[in-house]
Amino acid sequence: MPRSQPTHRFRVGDPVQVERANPYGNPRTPRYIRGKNGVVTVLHGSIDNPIDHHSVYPPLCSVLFRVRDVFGGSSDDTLSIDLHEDWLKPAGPSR
Amino acid sequence: MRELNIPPGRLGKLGVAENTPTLHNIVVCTLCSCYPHDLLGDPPWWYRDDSYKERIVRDARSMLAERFNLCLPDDVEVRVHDSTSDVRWMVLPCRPAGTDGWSEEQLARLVTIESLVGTAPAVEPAALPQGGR
Repeated sequence: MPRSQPTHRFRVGDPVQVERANPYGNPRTPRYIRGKNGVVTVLHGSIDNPIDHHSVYPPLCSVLFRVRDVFGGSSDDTLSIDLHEDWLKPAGPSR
Repeated sequence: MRELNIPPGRLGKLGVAENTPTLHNIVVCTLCSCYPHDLLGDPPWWYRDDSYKERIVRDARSMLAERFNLCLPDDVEVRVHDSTSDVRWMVLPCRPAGTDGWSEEQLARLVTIESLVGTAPAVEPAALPQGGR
């Protein structure tokens, strides 16, 4: 369940880039999205999930990507991927 | 969720992706097969299948048309939600026309497991036996 006082590093609308690797051992980021740029759309807070996580992971964001920015092509469709903040870093506003 | 007495923590948080006339949502979990099991039961068999996971993120529009016979107009954005176990996503399908005044029980007959994943729309009332009412 979400905690009442999550401390997000990012805000809705922030452009972010997905890290290529994670030194903290949190594996929950799909390989195809690593290194790609998107925009934060939802802040979920830190979610206690003792069945799947060995500890409480950093706050979780939904990040919106354009399919063409991830896989190439010309599609206007989108991918919304839930990523913990240890996998994200700020990106420049232009994509 | 409260009505069904689902314990917090087993489900994580529930995410609801609402379809609109200009946005069609689909759910996948490419890393494993996360799904709101406790709320919705088991997903369709193909939800766990690599052929679904690999193609739906790359080319959802074509996959919906070719594998699920769901052709979406160009002015409808297709958005794929790739989940973690922290937020379990479901799709809220568009309410079909001609259902004004229907009860919750009647509307539930229009909801299929595929429509909750996003590979089908809700059932049209005319497709129900005896017009559905």
